[in-house]
Amino acid sequence: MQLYMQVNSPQIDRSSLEQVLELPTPTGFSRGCPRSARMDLDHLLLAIEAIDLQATDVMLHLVEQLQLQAVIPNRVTFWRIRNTNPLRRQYQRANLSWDEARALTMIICAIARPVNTLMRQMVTTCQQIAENKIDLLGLQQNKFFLDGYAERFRSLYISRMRSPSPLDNDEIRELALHTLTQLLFCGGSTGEVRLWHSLFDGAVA
Amino acid sequence: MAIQRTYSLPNCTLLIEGISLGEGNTLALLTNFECRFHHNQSLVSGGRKLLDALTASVSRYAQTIQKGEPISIEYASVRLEPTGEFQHCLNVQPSEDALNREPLKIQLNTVQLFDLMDSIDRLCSDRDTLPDLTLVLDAGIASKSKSKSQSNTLPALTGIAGLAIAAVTLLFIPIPQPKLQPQSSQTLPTPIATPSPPPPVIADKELIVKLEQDLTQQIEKNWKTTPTFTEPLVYRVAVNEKSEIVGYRAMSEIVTVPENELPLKKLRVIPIDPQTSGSPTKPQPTITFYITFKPDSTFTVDRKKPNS
Repeated sequence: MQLYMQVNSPQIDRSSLEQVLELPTPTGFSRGCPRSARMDLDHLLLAIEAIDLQATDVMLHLVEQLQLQAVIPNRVTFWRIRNTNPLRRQYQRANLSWDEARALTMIICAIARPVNTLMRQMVTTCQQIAENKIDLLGLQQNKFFLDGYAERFRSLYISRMRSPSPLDNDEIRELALHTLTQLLFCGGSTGEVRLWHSLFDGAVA
Repeated sequence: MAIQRTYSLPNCTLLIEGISLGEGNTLALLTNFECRFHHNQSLVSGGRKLLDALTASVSRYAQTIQKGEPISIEYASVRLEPTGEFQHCLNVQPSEDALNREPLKIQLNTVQLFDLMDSIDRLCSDRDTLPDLTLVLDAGIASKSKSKSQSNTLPALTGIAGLAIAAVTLLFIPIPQPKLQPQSSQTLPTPIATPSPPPPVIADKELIVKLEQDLTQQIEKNWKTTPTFTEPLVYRVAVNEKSEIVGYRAMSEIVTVPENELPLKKLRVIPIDPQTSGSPTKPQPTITFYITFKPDSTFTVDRKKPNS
């Protein structure tokens, strides 16, 4: 519900269409959107869902706001696009078109921007855990909050990805925490462009 | 006209000072920039060259963090390197363009680095300030994917080279010649049926009596089910010296009796003890008994085959 309030507030006043023009189709990927990019996008969406379990509705609401109905006309299409992640249980060897990848990039960043403050706090908590400073600073409640997120991410991951799970529990937690850093950087003023480039940086065609 | 612009974020503030050329509000020429970090009040300041180096290195480095594999990035006098999972070090070497005369080392965590990146990104996307300064990103896609394909061909080339070396080495090893033996048509091997010797039979009379008693006891103990068959059933049972049933076979025509109903299957011992058990070459001594199971839950054990 937290996302709903923030996303509905007129924060998204950016000229999003202009941003689309700045997401060029990368060269050198003749077989379409690379596998790693499809996985990254889906993992980011999964992290957003783990932050707020109602997020799918927010995403569909954003499709209208960002005028992406031509690419994602309905809920089923959105579901099908997300299943282009090769690790998904319902993966059917479908590929992601460049426009669909652009649409997901814009949706992710449109959500990441209003929750940037939360991402700052969560990444900071990750750092404090890594440096064993939680008890010292008396920030146990932040750690519990982060653990709750990681657990929601894990259960979503287990239920959506193919079985047996491609990652073990520690690896899933690592992925959950890494996506927080990714979402932090997606929330910058040029988040779409940055995310778009990071998707194809070093990806195998 | 002198213009100042600031890009303020929670952890750092970027201050741009410059002049506009001609009409309008556009800051076209940079005279000085200042980037102040709030966590330790350190300051990076200089001219256009340093700003370009900072823009390029921070942009590229942020991209490696987003990929989850931060690596050292160096452009001109600015270098960024990871010093921990969430720690990064910004190094600025002194240059004629920079304010600092000593090398600067600024420790940043991921969130502070994000703010540095975002302040630069805001500057880059601001059309009214230094319009010729753009995000440094595009070079990444092309050059990276190219080096990736090179790194993919390397293992293949090593494999082919290894095969070639192995082929040349093996060339010097003489091919082993098969030793040909003179053969005549008469020495063709003729298969001879060698019947395995019959297992030795236990001859000790006292032992036989004991074995018979043991077998009777075993059956008594283990035959608990009510018989469903109506005709008496005769089984041939082989027993070894330790009173273990090592094999059995129905002698009657009726085979529809469920095996679980009779205790034989349960009592049979698969020989595993190397001391007493037999093998195809050295069969263990056994003795044969005939057991007749009757429909009234009684049974008899005989040495001879009953004439039924």
